[in-house]
Amino acid sequence: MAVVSYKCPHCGGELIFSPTTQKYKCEYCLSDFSQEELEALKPEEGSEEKAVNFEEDTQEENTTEKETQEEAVIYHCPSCGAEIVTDETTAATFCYYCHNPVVLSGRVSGEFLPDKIIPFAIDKKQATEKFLDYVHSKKFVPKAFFNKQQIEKISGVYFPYWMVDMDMEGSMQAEGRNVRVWRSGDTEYTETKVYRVEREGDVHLEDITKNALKKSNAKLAEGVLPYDVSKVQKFHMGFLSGFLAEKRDIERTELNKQVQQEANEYGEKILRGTVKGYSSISVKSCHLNQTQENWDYTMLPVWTVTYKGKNGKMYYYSMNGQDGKVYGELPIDYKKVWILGGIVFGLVLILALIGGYLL
Amino acid sequence: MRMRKKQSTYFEGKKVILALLLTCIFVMGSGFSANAAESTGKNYSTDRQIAINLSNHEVDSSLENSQVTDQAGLLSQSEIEEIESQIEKMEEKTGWDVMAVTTDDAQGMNATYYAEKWFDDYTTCDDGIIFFIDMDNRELIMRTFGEAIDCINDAKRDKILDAGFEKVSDEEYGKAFEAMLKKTAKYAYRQITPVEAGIAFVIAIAAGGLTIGCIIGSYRLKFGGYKYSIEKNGSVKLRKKEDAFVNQFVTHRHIPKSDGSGGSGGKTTTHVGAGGRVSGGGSRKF
Repeated sequence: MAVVSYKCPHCGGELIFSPTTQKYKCEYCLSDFSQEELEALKPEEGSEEKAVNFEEDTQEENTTEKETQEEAVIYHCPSCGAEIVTDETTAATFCYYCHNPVVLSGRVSGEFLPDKIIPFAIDKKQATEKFLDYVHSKKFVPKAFFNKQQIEKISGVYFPYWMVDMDMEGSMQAEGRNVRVWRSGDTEYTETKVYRVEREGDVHLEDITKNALKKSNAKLAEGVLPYDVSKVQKFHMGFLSGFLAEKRDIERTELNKQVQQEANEYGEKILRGTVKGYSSISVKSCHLNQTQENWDYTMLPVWTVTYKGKNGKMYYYSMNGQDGKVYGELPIDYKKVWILGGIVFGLVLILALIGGYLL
Repeated sequence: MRMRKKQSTYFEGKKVILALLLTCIFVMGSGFSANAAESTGKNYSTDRQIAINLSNHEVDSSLENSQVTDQAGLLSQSEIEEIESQIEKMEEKTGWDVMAVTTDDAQGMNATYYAEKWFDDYTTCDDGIIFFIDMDNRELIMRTFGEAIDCINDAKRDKILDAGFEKVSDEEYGKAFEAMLKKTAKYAYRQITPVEAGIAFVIAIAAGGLTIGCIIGSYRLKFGGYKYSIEKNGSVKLRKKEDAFVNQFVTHRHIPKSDGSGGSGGKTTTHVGAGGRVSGGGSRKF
């Protein structure tokens, strides 16, 4: 399996994707390259890579893999030749020794070639700031719990997701009722009009997004959704340079049923939403037949933050690499919460007593 | 129509209440002789009234307390004390003069007349209520004067009398006064009953608990998270859109008349009674 490193044509330094400029940057000579320029460079780069790139000793790999299936897999750094130990799902990482970014091209090609990618729009510095802003804006986090020094690790990771578009044919039968109430003297009249409602049409659902990595915490992985899909791009390996990336290990067959069920739910809601002007609607029957579906294997940018709390507990957060939305469990200053609860109790008690007094 | 010295509203300033209180205290403090002197000093226009007034004189001297007068001997000592304390509290809060009276000899008068006359005779206060159990006419009476007329409309009056009548039927006369005083207190001045306090406490606990629960829950990611937005990501092209009228039906119900117990805006029936004074109230025969 190949390992790829993008090199600057001017100085041979490593090229890294910069979220702020959305271009490739050489950290040594500070040159900028656009996506097109990088793609133009690639063949040259590729051949050079091949020269530096060490194929693995297949026999050795096989024996180790047989021994322990989940064991790390070894690659060689194209820059310094040192061994790079990876997980089975790692698609992009850094060399432990020379810190050069490497992309394990074999893991993002063939059947694992992602269809789409949303590149990072927030760099590490911004991510750190946004994270601290977020936790500091939270009123019930213990005071001075978070500080920059104690952020154990903040890394930009492209996580694998399945994004599903679905077309369905739907038909729905429902009963709508309109109720009118009026008074005449001492008598109240209630008039109920009953309507038979029928709807048929084509329902289209876009971007039902599902986490495609077993080892990632599904809650954290889906907590950062949604992404602005207008920024989606065709996948190119270059985007991974300078970031970590994981390849999927959840196949669409495993998600099919769940997605189908969700799509039906959404479809019914959409059809129901087209029925308007009644005081009550009851759906008698609703059928949805799937006509077309399109599953896109998509890489989405996530900043993961590991924070060691003062209490020794580790806290994990995920941040949307596009808009900086943070998701994760926060430590709670219970004293503050109880004080607020007490204040609310006191205020409501006083208000309720005043209410009781006045009535 | 009303012969009130001063037309004071229900929620008048503290000064008025204080003045009334002082007047009442003064009247009570100065003892019965002053009361009697004043009542006899009034000019009554009819011979009948004078006659009644005179006939009451014997009773006057035996009275020591203008709050509870148990001529019929229906009340135990502890009941008298309880009624007195309730009356004391009401008088303090409202500045009215409140009386509980029983008799087994109405001296030929009807119960309403007797009650009005009693109130006229034994207080100089413009505002007040008299609760009266007449064993002679077998009648339970409540008469309201001055401010109390405004405060207790017919609907409230009925509720008060209902509360008392229930006990009188069981021959619990002391309890009848207590029940009527309790009901009257609810209308006469703003207060918080133990039940109300309990409800307020429960609501406050719920609000405080909900606040704490919501904060802890949201910090621990118990709710929320990502929700697929069908508005943003879903669309539909309808091929068939039919809304057909099937049938209609009309139901009707009779609306019971509101008894006006919700507020103090209800009707108050008054009449000009003994001593030419306007009073409200009502009675129940038992």
